[in-house]
Amino acid sequence: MVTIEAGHVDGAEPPRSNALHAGFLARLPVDGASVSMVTVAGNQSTVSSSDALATRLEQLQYDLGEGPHYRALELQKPVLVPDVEAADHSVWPMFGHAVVDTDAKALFSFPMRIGAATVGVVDLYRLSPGLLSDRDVAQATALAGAAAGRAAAYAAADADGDGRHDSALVGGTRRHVHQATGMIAVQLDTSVTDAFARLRGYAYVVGRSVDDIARDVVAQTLDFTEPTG
Amino acid sequence: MAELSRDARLSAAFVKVADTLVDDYDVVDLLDTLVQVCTDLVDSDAGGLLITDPDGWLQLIASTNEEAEFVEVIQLNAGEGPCVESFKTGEGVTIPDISEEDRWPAFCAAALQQGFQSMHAFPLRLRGQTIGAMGLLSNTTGELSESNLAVAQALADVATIGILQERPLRDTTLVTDQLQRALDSRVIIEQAKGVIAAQTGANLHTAFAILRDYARSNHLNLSTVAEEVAERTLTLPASEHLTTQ
Repeated sequence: MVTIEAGHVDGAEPPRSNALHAGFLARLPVDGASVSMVTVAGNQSTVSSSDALATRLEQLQYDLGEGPHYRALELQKPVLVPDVEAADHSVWPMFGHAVVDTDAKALFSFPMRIGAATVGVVDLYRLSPGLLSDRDVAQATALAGAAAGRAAAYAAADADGDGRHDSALVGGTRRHVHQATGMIAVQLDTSVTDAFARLRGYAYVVGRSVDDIARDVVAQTLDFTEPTG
Repeated sequence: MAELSRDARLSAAFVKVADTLVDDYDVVDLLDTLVQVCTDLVDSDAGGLLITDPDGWLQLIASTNEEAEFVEVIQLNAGEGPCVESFKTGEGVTIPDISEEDRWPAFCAAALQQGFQSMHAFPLRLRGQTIGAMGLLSNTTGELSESNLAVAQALADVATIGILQERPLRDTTLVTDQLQRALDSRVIIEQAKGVIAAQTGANLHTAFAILRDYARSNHLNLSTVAEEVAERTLTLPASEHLTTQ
C-alpha cells in the first residue's frame, strides 16, 4: 500500500503555521483539529485550529488543566475517546462534565514528537461517535510527527521579530538544534522534552532565534548549567 | 582514471547500498549510505537528500556535510530549487554553472556562498511515485558524464525500490509513515549525539562514533540505541573513544 502524492511542494503559496491542521482534516475521518505547542513551564500555545469548536475544546482543557490533550502529553501516546457520551471520564472528571455539553462526540489526541522530545499535541474531534481504525491511528501518528517537525522549524527560525522567516519555512530544522537539545537535557538533568522547551523559552527571552542559540550551545559558548537569566 | 578502477568502485558502490538492505534495515542508514556513496562515486564534493513527510512536505534526511545541509535547507525554506524541482517533476535536474542559473535565486545565492559551482538533482522515484530527491554538489562547474548520471540515478533507484518494497508492509503502515519514522530516527540520533557529547565532553563526531559502535557491538539498531540515550534511560560507556581521541 503506497499513497504518495507528488506536487505538494509547489512553492506558489508559502506554507504557514495556520495550515498545520489541514493534513489531519484531509486525511482522517474527523471534523476538526487543533495543533498546540508546549512552551515553558507547562504552558501551551495554539498554533493552528480548524474552527471554533476545536479552539473551544482546547481552551476548555487548558482552563481545567485536564482532558485527553493532557493525558496524551503525560502518556506520550495517543488518547482515543471514540464515544464521548459513553466514555469513562474519571481521569478528567471536570472536563468530562463540560465536554458532554459540546457538539464533539469523539475526541482523539496525538502527541507531537520530535525525536524523543514531545513538543505539542494535536487534538481531533468528530461530530459523531466512532473509532479510528488502526490505519487511521498510524496515519495520524505520522501526521503528528510531520506537524511537529514543521512547528519546530517555525519555532527554530523565528528570529527577533524581523519576520524574515515566518512565512516560508518548510522542513528546515537544522541538526544543531537537535544536538543542542540533547546537550541541554544533560546540562539541566532533564528530559529532551523539557530541554527543547527551555531552548525555545531562552531564545524568546533574549530575543534571538532558536537556531542561533542552538549554535552557541553546540559551540559550547553557552551552557544552560549556569544561570542564563 | 582507469576504467577498471571505475568498474571496481561501481560494483563496490552497489554492494554497499545493497548491503544496507538486509533484514530490519534502517532507512536512515540506507539513505546516508546512498548519498555518501553517490558523492564519492561521481567525484562530487557534497550531497544532500530530501524525502517527503506524510503531509507531502519535503524534509532533510541526510547530508554529507554542513555546507550541503545548508543548501538543502535553503531549498526547503524557499520552497524551490533543483531538488524540489526534481521531486515535483520526477526528473533529474542539471545545473552545470550555478552562477549562470536564473531560476531559484535563493538556492543559487546559498550554493555559491557555500562554494558550490554546479549541482545535479536526482529523483527518488519508482513507477510514477516520487518519495524524495538527492542533490550532488560540486566545487567546480560542469556537467556529470552520461555514465555518472546513469550510475547515480541507478543507485537512487535501488534505494527507492528498497524502501517501497520493504517489509512485509503491515496493513496499517503507509510508506509515508515509514518515511516519517525515518525522519524521527534522524532527529533522535542528533539528540542522542548531543546527550553523549554533554555527558562525556566528546565532540559531536566522536559522540556519533560512540553511539554507532555501541549499537554495532551489541547488535542493536542504531535508532533504538539513540532513542534510549535521548530518553536518558541508557548511558553509554565512552572511555575507549575519549582516550584514543
